[in-house]
Amino acid sequence: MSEAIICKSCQAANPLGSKFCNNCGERLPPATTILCPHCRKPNPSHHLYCDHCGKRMVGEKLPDAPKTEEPKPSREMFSLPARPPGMTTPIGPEHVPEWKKDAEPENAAYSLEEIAPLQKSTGELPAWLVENIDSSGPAFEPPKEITTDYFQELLQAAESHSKPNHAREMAQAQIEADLPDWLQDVVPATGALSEKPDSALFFSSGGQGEEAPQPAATTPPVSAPSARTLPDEWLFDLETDNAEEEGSSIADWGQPKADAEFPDWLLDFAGQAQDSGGKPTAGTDQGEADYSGVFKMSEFGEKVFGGTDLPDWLGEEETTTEPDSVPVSRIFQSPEFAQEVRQTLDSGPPDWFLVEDVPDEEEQGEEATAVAPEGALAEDGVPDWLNELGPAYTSQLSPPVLSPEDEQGIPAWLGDLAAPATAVPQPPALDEEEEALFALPGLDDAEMALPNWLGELTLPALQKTESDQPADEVEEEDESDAVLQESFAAEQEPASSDLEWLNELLAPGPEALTAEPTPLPKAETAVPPPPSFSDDVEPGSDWSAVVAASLDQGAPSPAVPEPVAESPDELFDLFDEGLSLGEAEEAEIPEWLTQLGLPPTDSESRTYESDADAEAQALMTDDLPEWIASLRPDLREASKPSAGLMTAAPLLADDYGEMQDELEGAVLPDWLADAAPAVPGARLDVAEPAASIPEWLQFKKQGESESLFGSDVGDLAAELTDLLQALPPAGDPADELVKAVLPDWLQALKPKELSEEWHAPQPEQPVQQYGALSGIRGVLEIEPVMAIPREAGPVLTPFVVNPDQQQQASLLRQIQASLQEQARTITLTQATVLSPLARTLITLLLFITLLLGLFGPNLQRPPVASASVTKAHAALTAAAGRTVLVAFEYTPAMSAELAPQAALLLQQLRQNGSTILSVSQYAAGLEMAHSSSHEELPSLGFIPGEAIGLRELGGCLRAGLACNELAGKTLSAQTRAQLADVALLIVLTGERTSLVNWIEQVGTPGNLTMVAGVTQALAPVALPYVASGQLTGVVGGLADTAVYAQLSNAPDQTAVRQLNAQHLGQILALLILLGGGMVTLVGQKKVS
Amino acid sequence: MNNELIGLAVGLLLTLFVYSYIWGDNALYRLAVHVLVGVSAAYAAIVVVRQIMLPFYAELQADPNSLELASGLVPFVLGLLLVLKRLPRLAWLGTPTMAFLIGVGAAVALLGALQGTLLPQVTAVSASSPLVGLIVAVLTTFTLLSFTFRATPAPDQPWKRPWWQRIGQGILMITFGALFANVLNTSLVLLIERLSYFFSQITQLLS
Repeated sequence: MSEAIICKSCQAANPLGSKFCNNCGERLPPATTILCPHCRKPNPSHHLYCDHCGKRMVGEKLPDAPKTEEPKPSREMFSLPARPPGMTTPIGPEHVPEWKKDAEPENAAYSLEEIAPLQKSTGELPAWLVENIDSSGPAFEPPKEITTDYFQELLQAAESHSKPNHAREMAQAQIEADLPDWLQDVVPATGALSEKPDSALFFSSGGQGEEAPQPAATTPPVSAPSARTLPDEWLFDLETDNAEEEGSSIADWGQPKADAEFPDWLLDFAGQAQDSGGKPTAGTDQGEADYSGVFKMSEFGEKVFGGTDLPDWLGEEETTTEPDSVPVSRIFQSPEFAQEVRQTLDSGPPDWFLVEDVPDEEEQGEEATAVAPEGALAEDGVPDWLNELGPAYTSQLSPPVLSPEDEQGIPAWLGDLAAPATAVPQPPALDEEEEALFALPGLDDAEMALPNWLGELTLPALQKTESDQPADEVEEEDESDAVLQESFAAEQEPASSDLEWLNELLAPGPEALTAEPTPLPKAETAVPPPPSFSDDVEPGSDWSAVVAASLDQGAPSPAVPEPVAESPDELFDLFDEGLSLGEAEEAEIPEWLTQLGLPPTDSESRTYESDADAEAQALMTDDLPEWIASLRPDLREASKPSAGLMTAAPLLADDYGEMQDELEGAVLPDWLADAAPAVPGARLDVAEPAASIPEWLQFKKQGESESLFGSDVGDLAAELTDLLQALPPAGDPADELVKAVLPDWLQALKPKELSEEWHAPQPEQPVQQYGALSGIRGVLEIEPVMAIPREAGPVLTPFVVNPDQQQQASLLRQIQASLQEQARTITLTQATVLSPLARTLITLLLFITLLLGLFGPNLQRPPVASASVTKAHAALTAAAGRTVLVAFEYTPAMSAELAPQAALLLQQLRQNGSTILSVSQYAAGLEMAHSSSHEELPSLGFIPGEAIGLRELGGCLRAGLACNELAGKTLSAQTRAQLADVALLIVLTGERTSLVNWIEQVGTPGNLTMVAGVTQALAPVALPYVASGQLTGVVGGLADTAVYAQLSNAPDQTAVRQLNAQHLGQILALLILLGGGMVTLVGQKKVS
Repeated sequence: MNNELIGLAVGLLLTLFVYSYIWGDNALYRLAVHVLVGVSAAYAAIVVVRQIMLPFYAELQADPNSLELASGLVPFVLGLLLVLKRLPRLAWLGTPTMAFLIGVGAAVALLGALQGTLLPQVTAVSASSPLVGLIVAVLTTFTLLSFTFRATPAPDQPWKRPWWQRIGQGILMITFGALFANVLNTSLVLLIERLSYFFSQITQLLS
């Protein structure tokens, strides 16, 4: 691709970065560029490499930014401070607790365990470390300290030294042994390695499991390693592992390769050793290169401090390591490890790392290198905290002496680490007793289980006879030991003050110690030979003799006999026997050392029986330096701020599992012996365990148990399991947080509203004053429905009233008021006051008038008979001799008007000889008939049902004799005959309905002659029926009655007089009406 | 004093009590009215028992096996159910009886009105006085039209009764006047009869 920008207008090429065309001035399109991920400068898009920095831009992945690991949720419970705010102690040097001061001595460096104290499980470890753990392996029991089984394993491993797998396993175990505690704890959790690998495993691997270990005679004498010689022996393992892979024998372990690259500072160490009279490392001819072959420290440092390269042997190991082994190289290659080490060193290098006893290392020379595996293994057998303390202290005993040239070659960081050691005074010279102490025989590989610095202290107790050792080897050992002692004595002159604690350790029985080692019988003093790693290895000097010589400045170390072990069991027995000491030697062994695996004897127990506890207490409390005492696990845990949290937090199952792993095989001093009953561990595998050794620390013999801890482990596991089961189930931490007890000062700050006892103040409610709920507060009043508008209606425009409308409204109100006043005047005054008097007057006037008409003269002329009355009279006359049915349909109320008619008609019927058959639909009708006729008349009785009853009666009248029953009553034959003979029907009634029903239901249907005697009011109703012929005649009222009486020549003229009175009454009524009308008219005129 | 005199005196007092209504509603008037109503109801009940119940019971005892008498139990039961109309929860039992009475009575009344009043009155108009008949027909028509209230008022004029309705209304008023005069005459007759009775009786007593 071209780097020019083509102009669209003129097609001219323009250089990159041009905005306008150089030819035509046209704006150029912006060129597409990419930014270099390294230098952040633009480059053409087609470039693969940056023009500015030359690095690849495409496909390059930028280094990830350092990730800040988020703190993982811890299982520690949340705890609030127990002191309220404001009561905290100010932070200052004077306020630092004493324990913290003790735990932080000057120039004391934190170990990795202190840095990562809470990393107890693989889940809290970096992935790079977890993934190297082979979970498929057997159970791992990390502490392999001071156990004879471990040495036995080493011996067994020596049988298969030619097999790379075994070597790698050993190397792996060594690596783990040197790992900090928090890293070691991880391994057993995953079961990467077995705590006590079965011997058969070693022997059978590679098809040589049946092979017996090499005879002790062929085992080269192993000189005691010195932990002060190298920073750490585990690095030797790495080298040996590498050597194995290259086909070298096990004897080449610890022997550096000829072409290996060594860091300068290691070379410097070697140079100093030579300068100080030391000789090259045994087993190699390279002298200085021997140390450099251990590991390439410079590269390691480079790796740790930013480098990326690794030594070849590490790289090769990575490629050749089998999957089941721990890839050590990956550990060092990983940036996490580098960062972790860097952080550790920033806060102070660990104690073990401060050991830079170059002169001593140089003195030991090839012995140290040759026994590097053993030394490493010995360190593995020491408790980790002691393992850390030992080198730190021994570093004080053997400060490195560096030349200015060497100091220049040493990295700065390493120089800082070595600086404090140089200031440590040399250890004081020992007296004869002390020399005798260090001259004890019995030094063998078993002492390798102890740290080097501790091994120095145990040398006298572990010294063995040299009866069985070959002469040449003894000589070589003596020679080398002498050299070491000389160099040690020459270079290390610790001050007496610094070795006071050590002197006190030896103080209990200096007189009991013999200056010369007491030769023991061969059977008793036979010490298990050190692992015969290779026949080619030159026997080294006994490191105990070296230490003794260093203390005695040239005292020859006793020759160490070389025991012969035919089998691991035999080797084990030999080791036990070798640990049998004389009384003098036993007296010199401090109790805490016996707890580390040395079998005490009866005499020892007797010697220390009296003041053993006091001495141990004094040793571990008062006499130990404070910073050492503070580093004890319990004190360190207590001194840590998180210790309280850890104890306060409930232990989970994982924690117990980790505790079990920690306790298994742990060799604890006296101050930890107090915890023995709680954690019954394994017993020391000694012939006769002393009473001073805790039972739980006494090991069983190999034959007694299959594993190191035997069945006790199972018991312990069972106990722990039971304990775990007895524990309440681990609940949700959130729930436990809720249940946490708040301190008082925090409770005091709790708002009252959140307390359960708090109740919101209720507003004062009015007391109900009435009703059934009177006296009760808070009664809701009935809401007046009409008082509260339910919904807001539309806003009405105000009505505007003009003046004219106001005037009209006032006038209307005046009119309305005046009308109401007038109405009241009329109704209340005149009508109510005058009426009773008028009524009374009218009544009296009426009475008088009527009386005058009855008893007064007849003022009227005789009335003229009407046609209806005449026809009625004729009908009665025509019905003479026949049955006349007379219906009395009136009550006593109407009897005054109808009774005269009834009497007059009945009298005529009697006169005509007619049969009168009475009937009535009124209850009182028959009684009216009786009162009118003054005799008992034949009767049909009471006929109920009005029109219905009358219709039935009409049917009977039509049926004649066939009608047997009427109104529910059986008609007699006479009655049926009378009914059949009825010629006239007379209805006397004052009711229209009765008259009409008789006409419609009986008269008209039966076509009977019907005469009606009605009141004068009903006369107008009856006359139309007369006109229609349905009624023959009508006698209506008093006037017709009077006329009918004249027609019938009745003797009683009562009806005439009554009619005269009626007329007078009518006149009076007319006058009253007219008078009343006139008064009303007069009154209205007055009002108007 | 004989019973007639006592009866006369009581009758006179009760009559005066009723006439005391001249001075308005008073206790004497109410007493007289209540006595009248009570006596009339009691008399009617006695009459029903004597005229209806006792004869039916006598016949039932005389011939208990008579089917005709047994059929009489139906109205008796219906009568008893009609009494239950006074009980709200059992009033529905008297409803059939009421329906029976009203239905039959209406049917009989309607048939009687047609056969006994409407047709005879229509056909009774004689040819000898057609004018009278025409006047009667016209007045009857106007009277019936006066009960029709259907009208369409003018938009800007108040509603006025139609003339034919006014004619019918006039006819009704004349009829009501005549009836009122007859009622007045009846009242005068009653008063005259009572005065005549009392004077005759008192005269007889005094004589």
